[in-house]
Amino acid sequence: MSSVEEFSFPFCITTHSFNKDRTNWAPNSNRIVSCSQDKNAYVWTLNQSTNKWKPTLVHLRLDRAATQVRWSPNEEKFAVASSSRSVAVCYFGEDNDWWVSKHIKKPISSTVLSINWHPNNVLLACGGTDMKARVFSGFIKGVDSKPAPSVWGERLPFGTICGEFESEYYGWIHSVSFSPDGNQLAFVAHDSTLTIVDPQNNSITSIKTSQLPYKSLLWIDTGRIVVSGHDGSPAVYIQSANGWELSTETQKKSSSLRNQSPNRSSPISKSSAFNMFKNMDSRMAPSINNEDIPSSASKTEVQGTISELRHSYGDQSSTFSSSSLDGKIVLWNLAVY
Amino acid sequence: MSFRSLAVDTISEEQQVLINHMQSLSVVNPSQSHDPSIFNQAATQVRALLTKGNVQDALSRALEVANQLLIQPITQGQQGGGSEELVEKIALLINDVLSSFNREQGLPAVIKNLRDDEQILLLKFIYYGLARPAKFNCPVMLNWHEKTVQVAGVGGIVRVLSDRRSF
Repeated sequence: MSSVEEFSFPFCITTHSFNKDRTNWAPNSNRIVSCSQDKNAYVWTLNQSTNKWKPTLVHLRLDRAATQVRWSPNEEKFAVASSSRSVAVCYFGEDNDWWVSKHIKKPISSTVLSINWHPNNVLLACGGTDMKARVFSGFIKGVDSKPAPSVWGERLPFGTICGEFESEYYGWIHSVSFSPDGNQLAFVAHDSTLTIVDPQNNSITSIKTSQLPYKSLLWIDTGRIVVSGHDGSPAVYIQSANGWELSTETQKKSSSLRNQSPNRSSPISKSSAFNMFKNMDSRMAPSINNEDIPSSASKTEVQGTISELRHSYGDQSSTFSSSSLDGKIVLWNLAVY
Repeated sequence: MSFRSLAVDTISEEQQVLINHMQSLSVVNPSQSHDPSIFNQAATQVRALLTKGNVQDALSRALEVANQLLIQPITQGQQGGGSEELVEKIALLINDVLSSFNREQGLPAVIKNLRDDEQILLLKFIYYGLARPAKFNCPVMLNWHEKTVQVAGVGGIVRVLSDRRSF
């Protein structure tokens, strides 16, 4: 965790004409899919003889930005979330020798921010700014074989809604993910909550954190979830006899909560509204004691918002990676956390 | 180039559903009338508790009636909320409860005894009061705000901001 390694960039994706690229690597077939605000997606394959990556355009048919892309676990399909209030499920059409797409539209009513596949390669979870997390069927005839019945339903033609959930205080859904066995769904929202849906036991657990909202979540195993977001370092939730709770291992006291009063030269102290409240407050002098606020923020390398968590390739039982707005990619190991 | 002809202002059927949903979560609902006896009865009880110096129960009772009249109907999917007038009446009642507590040190304990959702509701009323300094006791509100945030964390503020059931 403390060692800093130098990486070189063997190639750089340069075909997109807009920023905010998202990529996803399929480790077994060694393919990369990239998508961007320019409404396009490309599948990249490595040419062994020249050792060069070659892009193939995907027939995506989106009229707004692509926001997220994910390979299905068997790497035969991928899904692209987008601002055109839809999710495009893409597969390779043998007839056309091209990656083609089918769209899930109804009843998504706003930008989709996050998608993730169920381990059965058919179900798809998505969530976004319409404040709903949903489970859809992404079954493609001719590509998928019929899935075994699961807790989410039995008959699953393309586009079937298998579940629809909201966070307790109606926040935008930042990240959704199925548990590794596929029987539970977790999502984090902009109301600083983590929600775990368990249809098998007919239960929905809503965890209200005292911190800023989480942006990303990752199941380590069926009883452990790593979350992270605007507060910097990741936190772990574990399922115990009392239900889901913040793991004490990562529950460290914060030492640097941004709560100092602004200094005199800052624009905020020149503000008349600020001074008005300050005068009103002068009779009751504040005695802010941040030690009372439990926080998982610990002194780590990460200084900014963590925008994404990913499993690292290989040992997924305890290691994961995070990318953050301070420009760092950090590999975490829960065993030595 | 299909995006060139995209009419960005049209509201699709799905978006209309979302808009209706968001409107149905609004607490301020002029068309909704309530039996005034529910509030009056609660107000009498709250004032009786305050005379006895029982701020904890007075606050819980005031938040309970606020929850019952303003929030619960929405959560249960019914047409909910109340008039501006009702919201202000409840806010003034809570203002009276908060103002009557003048022992600095016992305050966090009172807040900790509230449920999570009650803490959020209290924060909403504090912001309601702070936005109307002519009618509400802002120094007291600021003090309660500080202590409530110490208990609920910044997450509490975030939840008040993202909650559509606001006023």
